[in-house]
Amino acid sequence: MKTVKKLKFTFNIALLLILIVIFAAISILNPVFLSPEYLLNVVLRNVVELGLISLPMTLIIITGGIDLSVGNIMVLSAMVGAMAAGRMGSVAGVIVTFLVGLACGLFNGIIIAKVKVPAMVTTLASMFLFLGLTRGMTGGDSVYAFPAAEAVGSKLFLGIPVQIFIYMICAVLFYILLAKSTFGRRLFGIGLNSNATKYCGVDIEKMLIRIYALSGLMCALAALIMIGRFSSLRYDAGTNINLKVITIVVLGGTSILGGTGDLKGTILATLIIGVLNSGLTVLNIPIDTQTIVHGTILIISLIAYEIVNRRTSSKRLKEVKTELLKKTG
Amino acid sequence: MGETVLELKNIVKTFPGVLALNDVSFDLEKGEVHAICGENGAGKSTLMKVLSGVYQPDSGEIHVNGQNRKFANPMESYKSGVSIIFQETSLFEEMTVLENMFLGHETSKKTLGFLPVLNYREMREKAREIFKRLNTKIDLDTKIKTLGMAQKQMVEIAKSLTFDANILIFDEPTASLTQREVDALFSIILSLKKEGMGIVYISHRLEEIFEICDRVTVLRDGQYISTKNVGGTNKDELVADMVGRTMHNYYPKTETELGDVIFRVENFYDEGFLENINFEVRKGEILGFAGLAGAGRTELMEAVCGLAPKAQGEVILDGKKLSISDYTDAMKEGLVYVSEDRGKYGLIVDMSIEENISMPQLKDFSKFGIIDRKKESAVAAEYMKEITIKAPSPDFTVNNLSGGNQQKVSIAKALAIQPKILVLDEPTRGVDVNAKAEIHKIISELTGKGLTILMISSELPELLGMCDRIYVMKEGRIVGCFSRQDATQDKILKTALEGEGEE
Amino acid sequence: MDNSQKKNLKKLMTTEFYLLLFLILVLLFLAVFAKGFYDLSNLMNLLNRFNYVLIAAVGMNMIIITSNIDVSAGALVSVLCIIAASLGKQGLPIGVFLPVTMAAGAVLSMINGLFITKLHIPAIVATLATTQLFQGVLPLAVNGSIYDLPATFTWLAYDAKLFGIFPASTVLMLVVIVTGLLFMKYSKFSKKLYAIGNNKNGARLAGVNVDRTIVIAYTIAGALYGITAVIIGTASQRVTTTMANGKEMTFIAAVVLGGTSTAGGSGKLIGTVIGAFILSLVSPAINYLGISPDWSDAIMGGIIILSVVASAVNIKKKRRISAAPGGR
Repeated sequence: MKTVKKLKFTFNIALLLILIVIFAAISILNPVFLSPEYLLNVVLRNVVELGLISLPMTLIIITGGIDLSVGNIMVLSAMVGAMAAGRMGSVAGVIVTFLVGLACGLFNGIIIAKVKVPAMVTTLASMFLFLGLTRGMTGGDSVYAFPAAEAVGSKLFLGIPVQIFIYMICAVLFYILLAKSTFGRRLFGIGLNSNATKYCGVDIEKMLIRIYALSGLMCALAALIMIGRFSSLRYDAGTNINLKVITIVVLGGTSILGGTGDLKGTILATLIIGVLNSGLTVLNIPIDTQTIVHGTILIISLIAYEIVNRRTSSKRLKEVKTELLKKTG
Repeated sequence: MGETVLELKNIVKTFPGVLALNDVSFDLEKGEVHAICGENGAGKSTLMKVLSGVYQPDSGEIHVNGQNRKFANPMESYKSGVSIIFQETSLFEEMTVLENMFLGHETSKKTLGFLPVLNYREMREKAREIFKRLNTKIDLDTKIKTLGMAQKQMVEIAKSLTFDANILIFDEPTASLTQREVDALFSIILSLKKEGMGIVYISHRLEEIFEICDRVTVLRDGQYISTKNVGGTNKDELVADMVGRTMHNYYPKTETELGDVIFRVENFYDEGFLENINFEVRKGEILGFAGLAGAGRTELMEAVCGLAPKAQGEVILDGKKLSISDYTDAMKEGLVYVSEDRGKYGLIVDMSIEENISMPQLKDFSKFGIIDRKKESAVAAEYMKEITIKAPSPDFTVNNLSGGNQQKVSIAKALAIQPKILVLDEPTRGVDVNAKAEIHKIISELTGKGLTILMISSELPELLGMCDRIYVMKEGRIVGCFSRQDATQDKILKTALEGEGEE
Repeated sequence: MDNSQKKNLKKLMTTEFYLLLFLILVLLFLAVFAKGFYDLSNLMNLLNRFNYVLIAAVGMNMIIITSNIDVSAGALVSVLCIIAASLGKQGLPIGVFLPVTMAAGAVLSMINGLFITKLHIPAIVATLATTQLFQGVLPLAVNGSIYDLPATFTWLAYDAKLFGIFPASTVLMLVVIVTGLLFMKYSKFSKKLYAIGNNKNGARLAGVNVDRTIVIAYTIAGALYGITAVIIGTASQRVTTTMANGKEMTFIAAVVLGGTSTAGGSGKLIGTVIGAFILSLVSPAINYLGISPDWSDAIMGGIIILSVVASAVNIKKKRRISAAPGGR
């Protein structure tokens, strides 16, 4: 993967540069942005949920799959968890939240891996299902946070919001999982050539079920933080999260076709989106307008990836040709 | 006979590293069935793909009905009167028979003076007429995916007739047909011939050539060898032309001391693919499997290695009966398969050499689930040295290697599993001459170290040069077995073609 | 004779047939258990929703047949609603703003097609990016909503009734659906769409200009989104910038439910029609059954999942039978 690695390297540097430029520009325009308190409490804190879900989404997209239901899994698990907490207390609430997340993820994974329905169709349908279950159970009302959720969503630890620690731990764990572990290696194998991976004795169905289940669990974790942060949630709060998470992963350089990508890119992309969102707010630019900035950045990065890919593939072709000439001549 | 309808002059076609067609000429007359034959890889199919516009020749001329032509895609060749019925059908599975027959050249009529509207009635009529000519009944509105192979082929033939073609090319048309279907096909070919069509018939089944063809052209290794009237030749002469007389001497087989029987396969059966297969192999032996494409060699090896879930039979290694339900089990027992299709099943070409080598046994390369990169790299470096993989470093992407070196990575990957029995399926396909010799040397050295090898190859000289014994397969059965001393190209090819040989 | 009858029966057993059967069962069920469901005003309401979903789904169907997708449809329709409204605000009649909106939709959707074919960006990502552009551009141009629209604007929804009862949007729908059905059956273009979805390279070899065909499919879909936007927009005197956001999922769902595989190459428009009808039926139906409307999304999701799982299992079964004899 040497050439791929080189490519990733330059892209991550590019992402870092973009991050720095945006950061600097916003700080110059409005110095308030630079205060540590603002950075921690607003910039980072607001992007933790997206960041947490984009971690497993990166794994899923690397295998060539996709999950359009993450935001709805999140809200569904928060809802059911909060209801359970209301009756049986905080601990039950937390357990139920995770159980619901896991169940939703397993549901997706089993349909995708065992029944072999395309991931896009499966998760599109389950998006409706999870959204609808949430709406049906709450009757369209909001649900409210419970103490355990508040502990992770709106409390500080050492003066820093708790969820930032949680995100950092998860990011490191996922990074190790993808880049260093046998599990991650097999995921790349599935994305690059699932036939050959199967011929290496890898149980692909089991792997797929596991990552969708993992995605469900991470959605549940993000759900706890989100309901704690906002102290209440509406049933449709999750729907626009789905595409935002995919934007982050793609912006981070993970190919939607599967096989290439890494978590450093995803993490950098999360920070870029976080800085942009809060930064544009600080600059009094209406929240809706931020979407166009997201879109533009995504398109520019896609075009950049395409151009670089084309160049490397034509370069590779040339290399092969010269090698052949050397041999015959 | 009649006028010349098709002429190919001095066609040359190269692929990266391979000269597929070298100065090949060919001509076809009106009302004639002209066979092209040759061994696997002789260039038959490439020639036809050039003719039908799938490939463009590097040099040479194509004359169709007296006009010099260049085809950018098959549609253009169809429209000039050349129709090819491909080995793997080129039909669109989810579309109906009628839609497929007329795709890209649908009949339409103007409605309201300007709107072109598909004229189903006319297409239907034309299609019915064609099927009547072919003496076949197929529902025009069924989807292709519900048809069997024979019916698909019939649709392909019908499709080619919608173009008013006067030249038809059949590429191994009987490969997946039953005898009854073959008979039906032949009567169609003969009636088309009577209508004055020129027909090119590609096959390696000699009896078919003598049954329906007028002339036969032999190709070997991309070279034109001969053209003969079928009436004035016989099977032995054709076989001699196909194999040639030269015997390359770059197979440095070292003689090894053979041990006891280490591995036995008994009563293997897989419906539609394999019938009652039995063979045994001794420690340190190289056992070859010859046969024509589709004889069931790959199917047999996949079945033995647990890659064909429905196959039944017994596998005995070192006197112990193995229970293999999938490939993971086979690997654990030391039974390792190197696929003929490197890019699809053998390697993950976008990964590095070391990553490919460690993939089947990541557990052994990791602690607590974390991959030990140093070990990975060291092991890969070892194998790179041992079997001379030419690459800058173990973390070099496989995709950027030459075919020969990719094949060596495949072998290294298999060796890293520490196999007792190594199955090599076409180990030198798509590999240049130098790398071929190197791979043969590697295989030879491995047996010297006590490894036992089962080798499938479609190149007879390779089998003759490398193997201690050669089994010949035909239609899912073993039809012959030759020792190193007895085996000749003629004997093997004849057995593979006709299915009679000494067991 | 007996045999050919069996054959004919088998031919009938398509996805579309099962869907239709399901639809009829639901309608019968509603006739018995949902009092007042067949009330005229309720039916007209249902029809209005069906109209705009179906018109957009006709376009979406073409796109999905080529094995592409369009997740920007909702955002694009929002943009088109605003375009229609800003023209309507000037007092322009529907005879002007309908064609202009359709043209705008065609152009914007064509951009999607160009991104996909010329830059080789996978359809889902390309349209995801343009979704954000469309959503973002609106607030720049309009402050939240356009309101106090004149009566000429809402003419389509309120005053234009055929025979005094049928909403005029139904006429639009009928025109689109009849044209669509004829087009998918009698045009050379539609065969190209299927060929591309079945096998892109095969289509290329058959002389199909793949890129151009895909761009045209998106363009046609865009024009249809324009009609959808006009129907949605003219329903009130105030048009907001987020009016149709998220509706893309309903459009896609109608197509998928109708038996068109997202893998491309298969599916009939008539299936999409039934699919759209079933989805439009869910809300009013459960309303009359006394179930809270809050359950409508869950029921829609359940129906879609059941149908895709059933067809996947069906395909698997068929494969197993045909996989037996013959060489490779």
